[in-house]
This record gives sequence, C-alpha cells and structure tokens, in this order.
Amino acid sequence: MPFRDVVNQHHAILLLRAAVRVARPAHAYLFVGPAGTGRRLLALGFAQFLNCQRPADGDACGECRACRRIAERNHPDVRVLDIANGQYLVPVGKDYKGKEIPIDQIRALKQDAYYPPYEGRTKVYIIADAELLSLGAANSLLKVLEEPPPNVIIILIAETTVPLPATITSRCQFVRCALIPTAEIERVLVERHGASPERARFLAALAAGRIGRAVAWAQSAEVLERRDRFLTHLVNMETADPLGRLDAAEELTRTKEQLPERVGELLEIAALWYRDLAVWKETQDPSLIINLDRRGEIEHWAAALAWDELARRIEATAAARDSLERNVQPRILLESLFFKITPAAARV
Amino acid sequence: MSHISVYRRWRPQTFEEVIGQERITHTLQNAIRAGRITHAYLFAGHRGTGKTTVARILAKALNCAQGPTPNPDNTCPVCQGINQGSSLDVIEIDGASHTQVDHIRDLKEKIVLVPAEGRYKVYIIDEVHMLSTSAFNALLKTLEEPPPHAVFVLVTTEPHKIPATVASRCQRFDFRRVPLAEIETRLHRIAAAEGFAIDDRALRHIARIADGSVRDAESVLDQLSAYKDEGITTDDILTILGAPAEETLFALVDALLRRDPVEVLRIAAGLIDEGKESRQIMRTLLEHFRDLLIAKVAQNPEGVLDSTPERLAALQRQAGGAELADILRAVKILSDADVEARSHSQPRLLLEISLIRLARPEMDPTIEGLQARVQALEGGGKPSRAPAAPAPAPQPAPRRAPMPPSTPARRDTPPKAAEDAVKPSDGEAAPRPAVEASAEALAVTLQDVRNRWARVLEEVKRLKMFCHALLIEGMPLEVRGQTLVVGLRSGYNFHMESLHRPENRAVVEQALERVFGRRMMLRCQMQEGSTEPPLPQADAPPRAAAADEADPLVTRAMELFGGEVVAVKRLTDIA
Repeated sequence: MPFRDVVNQHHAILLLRAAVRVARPAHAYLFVGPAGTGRRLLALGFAQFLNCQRPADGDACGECRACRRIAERNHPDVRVLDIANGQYLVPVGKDYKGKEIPIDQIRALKQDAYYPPYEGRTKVYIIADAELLSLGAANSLLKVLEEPPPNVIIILIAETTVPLPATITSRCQFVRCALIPTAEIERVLVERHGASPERARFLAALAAGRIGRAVAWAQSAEVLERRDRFLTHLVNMETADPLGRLDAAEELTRTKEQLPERVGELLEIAALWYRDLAVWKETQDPSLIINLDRRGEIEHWAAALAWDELARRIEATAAARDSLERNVQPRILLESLFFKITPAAARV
Repeated sequence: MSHISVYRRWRPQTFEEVIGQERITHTLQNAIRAGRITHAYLFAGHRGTGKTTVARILAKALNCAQGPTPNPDNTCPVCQGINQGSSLDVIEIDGASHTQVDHIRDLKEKIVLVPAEGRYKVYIIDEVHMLSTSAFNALLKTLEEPPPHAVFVLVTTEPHKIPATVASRCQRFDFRRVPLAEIETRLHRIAAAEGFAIDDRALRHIARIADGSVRDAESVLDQLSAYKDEGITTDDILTILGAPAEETLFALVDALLRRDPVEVLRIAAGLIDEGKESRQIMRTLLEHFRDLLIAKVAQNPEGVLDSTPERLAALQRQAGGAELADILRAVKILSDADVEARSHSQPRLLLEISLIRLARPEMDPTIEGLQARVQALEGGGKPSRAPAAPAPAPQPAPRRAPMPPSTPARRDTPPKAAEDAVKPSDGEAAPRPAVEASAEALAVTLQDVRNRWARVLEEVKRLKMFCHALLIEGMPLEVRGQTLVVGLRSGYNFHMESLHRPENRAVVEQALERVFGRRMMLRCQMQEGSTEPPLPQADAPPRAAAADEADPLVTRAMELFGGEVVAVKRLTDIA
C-alpha cells in the first residue's frame, strides 16, 4: 500500500513526500477527513515510506522486507491502535467495552516510544479514530505528542478536528484527506474491482466521495438491496394504512443479527432521502442529488410535500436516531418513525 | 534526520522572549530581583500562550549559576541541563499520566532531599487539572509548607478544575491570549530567520486563525514551510486548515441573510467538494455570526473583536443589513447543530439541513423560526422582542404539536429561548470575554435548580443513561456556594455511592454546567424519613391544560416516562 495505491489524495501525499524530502517530518500528524477516503492507507503508506529499504520516486517500494511487514501489520516499529478493528497496543481487560480508547493504551504507547526502533528507521504510531480517545487518554498523550523521543512519529486519524481537545490539535500538523471526486471512484471501481461501468457510476454517486464504501458495495450487493427495500418502504409510508406501517417495521426487523447497526444504516438512508427532497425542492439541480437512481420519485415527492411536512420528517428521523443511541428497541423505534411519516390529511 | 518543529526550536529561553505576557514576566522578574520567591505558582490560561515555557524559564532563573537572576544566562551548565531536560533539580511531571495518589506520595518522599546541583528543586506539574481528587488532597500539605528548597509550578489550561484548596495555596498567574499584532510580529521574525518566503497577508491570516495561541500559529507556519519552497499564499493556509476562504464565508452569510437557499446550497456544496470539513464549516459560520452579533451590538467592536481592519469593516457592513433576531436565530440553530453533530454520522447532512433551516424559516420548527415567518408576513417589520410569546399562528401550530421528543433545547418557553441565545450557557456562541465576569455574579439559587431540574435530568439522560437512573431518585436540597446538595432517601446508598464516583459525578456536573452556564459541584446526602417524591413538576411545559395535568394518572405517567404532555385525551373521546 505505498502512496501509489492511495486514490486521489494528491495534496496530502505531496505534503508528506515534501516533508521527508527536506528531511523534516513533523513528530505529530493529524490525518483528518471523512471515513472511507483512504486515511489509514495513507498513514501506512507514510510509515512504509519512512522505513522502506529501497525508496524510489518519492514512494516506498512496497516489496522490501520492511514494506511487506508493514503491509502485513507485523512490523515491530509500526504500531496501529485501532479499537474499531480490535488492534491494541497492549491487551485490554475483559470488561472493556470498546467505546473509547482507554488510557492504558496511551501509557503503553509512551513506554514503548522510549525504546529505539528495533529494525526500522522511524517508529510510527497510528491511532485511528482519535475522536474516541478518552479524556484521560487525550490528556496523557499531550506531553509525548509535543516532545516525543527522536525518531518517533505519532499519527492521529480523525473525521474532524472539532471534537478533539484543542490542546491536542494545536500540537499536530494537519494532513487533510478530501472526499474523492465521483469520476475517480468510478474509475477505481471499474479498474480495480471489476464493476461494470453503469454500476460503477451509480455506486460512485451514492458513496458521496467515500471510496471505502463504494468498494464495499461493489463487493457485496446486500447493502444496496437493503437500501432499495427500505426506500420503497419509506415512499410507501406516505400512503400506507396503519397496518401496512406495522408490517413494514416488522419486516425490516425480522433478522435479529446486528439489528441496531442495520437500523442505524437505515436511518442514515432515510436522512439522505429527505435531504435529497429538500435540496431538490430548493434547487432542482441534479448535480446536488445523491439518490440519482430515484430521481423521478424525488421530483414527485419534493413537489408533493410542503416545507413543514418535510421538516417533520427530518425531525422524526433525527429523533429516531437519537432513540437508537439510547437503546430503544429497533422495532418500536421504526414503528414510531413510520407513524410520524403520515400525510397531513391522515393525521388526527 | 529528526526535525525539531518550529514551536520547539523557537521556544523562548528568557523572560524577554515571551510575547504577550509582559505583566506576568515582569512580576516574576521583580519577585526574583527582590528575593521574594513563592513556593507555589499556578499558571493558567489558553493553550499555546507560554505557560510551560515560562515555568521552565523560571526554573532556570532560580537555578542559574549566576545566582537567582531575572535574566538566566542560558550558557552555564545548569541552564543548559534544564534546556535539555536533563537537570536533576527540575522535575517536570506530566499530570495527565501521573494522576494517581501514589505518584504524589512518591513525590513527597523525594522532595525532602536537597537539590543536586542548583539552589532549588522546581516541580513543574503540567496538565495538573487531570490529577485525581485524592492526588490533589495528598498534595495539599506539601504545597502549603514545602521544604525551603522546593518550588512548585502547577500548569493547566483548565483552572476551573483545580480544587479551591489547591488554588488558594498558589500564586495564580493567568496567561492571556496573545494579541494578533504580537503574533504577527513574531511570525515575521521567525519567517525571516528561517528563510521562508511568505507574504504579509498570509502571515496576518495565520495570526488571526491562531486565536491567541502562539503554538498554533507556529505550527501552521512550520507545516507550510515544509512543502512550499516558493512563496506561501493565503490559499495554502486555507487548504491546510480546512477552513473556508473569507470571501466565500461572507458570500455564504450574505446569501443566508438574503434567504436565498439555492445560492446557500451551491456555496456549501462547492466548499465540501473542495474538501472542507462540514463541521469546520459549521464552526466557522458560528464564529462568524458571533462576530456579526458583536459588530451589531457593540459601540466600538474594535475593542472586542481582535481582527484586521478590513474584516471589521466588512463585518460592520454585513451586520448593518441584518436583523438582530436573524443573527440570534442563526447562532441558536448553529450551536444546536454543533451539539448534535457530536453523535451524527453524516455531518454534511446536518450542515445542509441547518443551512436550509436558516435560509427558510418554514423549515424551522422553533419559536424563533415562527417569529421570523410572522415577521416576513408583516412585511419585514421590526422584530418585536418583548412580547415574544407569539400566540402561535393559528394554522401551523396545532399541526406541529406532536413534536419529536429529542429536542430539549428547543422546548424552552419563548422568552427563555431568546435569553439562552445571548447567555454564555450555550457555549461557544456567546461573546466570551465580556460575559464571563457577569456569569460569575449570577448566582444560581435553589429555586433556579428546582425549576430547571427536569432539564438537568434530560441533559444527564443525553450524556449517560445510567446517571439519569441514579439521579432521578434524588431531589435538589440546597445550594451552598458552588455546591449543589442533592438529597436521597435513606436506603439509596448505592445511588449515593455511584453518584459520588468521579466518572458519574463529572457527567452530572457537566449537565449542570450546560443548563446553568456555570460550574457547580455535586454532593449527595442521605435524608432520614421520606420526602416528597422528586417530581420535575416545575419545568413541565405550560402548554397543556392545567386541569389535565393535575390528573393523577397523567402525573404518574409523567413520573414514570418523563417527556412532556402534548395533549390529554380521555379514553371515551377516542372511542
């Protein structure tokens, strides 16, 4: 995964490459950008570049021992802390729930950082989802982030700088990972993942700049089918009778596996749908629409729904998402959402 | 190969080099000259204003071979040892990783040993606000009467988290945000010395966004220098910061004030395509409206807004054409969205919805939105502030009645909502410097707490469900200074113990801070005998008919489920 495998983050790569060329990479980086834009790949690529035995053309070779070991995640000097994927610096306790990055991981990082590199040139610590640093962990990181031992680079990855303590961000250099242009995603889907051109176009539009998602969709049709089914239900709600509403909620929650996650996904789809309606109502500009495959329905419903009706639906979706976070039962939540999506005339 | 970043390389080594904190450096120098060295200092202030730096210089000044001197020479072995961090007498402790009482005990054991080479042992405890309560308490005796050779410097960005017993034993110095002009001058110096080609406008821009933090400014400069050999321009800075360009921002706000949603969405889409962060755009917008508010209200905004003259003029022009109510509405919507964004997976969506809401009051279900619409109907008359409680416009109100339960912030009664937008309680939005003082003066009384107890519970529920379950058994009993005493019926020991645990206590205190806009400490105590059930009556929405609310069934339901009474229908009516 050298730089050449990272899609389209030219600016970020330019910056990192230049930093190495003039022999002064900073000691703390914050890679910031939406998930699915290749931030982790970029971080690993940077680690390879810093440790590669035969770097050429401003990139790692990807073939030497160091590069291979980094790609396989078993290089002793490149450590990844990624709690979402179960990668820790030290084993976590049994009762650890995985919601935030606990302070002992950071303590371990600090202890480890003070040993010189084992076989590479630079020790690289990659902390994914830095938003999840617990308050204690973030504070405990401050000193080492400001003045780390020589040959240590810490890379934080986050979606946005806003939730991070200002004391953290002010110590880091920012590397921005932008959303990826639709055309570029299309190209990658066709060239690397063998998607047909039409399908690639649709997926790219729907992914809204997050290539990671588009690739996941290209590999499994299941998510898209779910989306389709749900959107059909959502549109039907505008006319359904009460029993139809209950049935829809029942059908969508029949499989119990990972239910909350899937319902979260559905709510996101709903939010995007109403967003499209609002945006279309306002601008009638197809280039701003995300659900391109359903343009006819968007046109129809954007005209049919009054502004306050639309606002109600958006509020209801937001409320449902809120309830989901508070562990409301998914089925009840969907039922309640569907009952709120009613045309004005049918409401008592 | 390791590169030392600009902010480390240029860390000031003498008191004179520190910028923007003359009051503090002069006081310290005079104290050293007069031989009046206190044994405990507390350095508080914004990030990147020089707290740790001054602490280190102070350590050098005390231990320098030239005797305690206001001007350490930086050449003697002692000074150099301190500069390299190898001195045995300057002990820099990372308070955030040494939070436990054992660390303090260890410190106390060693503090009695005399200094190895210098005159004083200087203990610099950085990020001291992260120490645990027991660690703080363990420190108290030593902090009050340390051995004659010991000097403590406690350093923190969050002085309000320091217990009063610790703060009162220290001489406190508040580091202020460094003024724009001084940062700019410093950047000029560094850029010239390091040989960076950078134009004045870009430098000024860096200084402005640094928001009073020298480290932020130097960090940006460093980063720019790394990848640009030929001149650095303002655009490069914006790319790095992910913030929208000034002109674009003004255009966006103009379009919002004109209520031109099409243009608003186009600009927003353009920004996102450029790779700007949605949340950053929201933040920047919020700050822009805050500045507009000040430009609109203040007599001489120059004194309050630390900004360039051109930007100030543009702000005043824009503020001139805007209604105060509109600006307040924008601040409210944006700060609500900012809170919501914390748990939102699609910040872009949130941004777009907020923008549409701003540009189109029909989409805004709050009272302010309604007001804006009424105003538009009346042909753009002056916004009527005083009788803000609009007998809700007959048509839309009943239809909107079943409001989703998730928007507590919008549920305030109208006059309160208007107030909230101006008070600092809503966080970043309000002008910071001016209000802080007045917020101190606004004491929270027990009645206030009782009246808004339901909101506190609601807020706690948002933060942590478990705490809500604990707190709901309690009842505010008394407000003692900054401490809120909550009573629990006897037998609820578990609740009390759990609430006293730091992590839960922090949640409740955070909720209190959000609701009342000031810090309060929580204490629980047992009450003998039974008290009246802790009913959040006082905050119940006044909309529902009073008679219905008195119904025991309704009261009981409210007690069990919380929420608000939208309408009460008899079973017979429904059948």
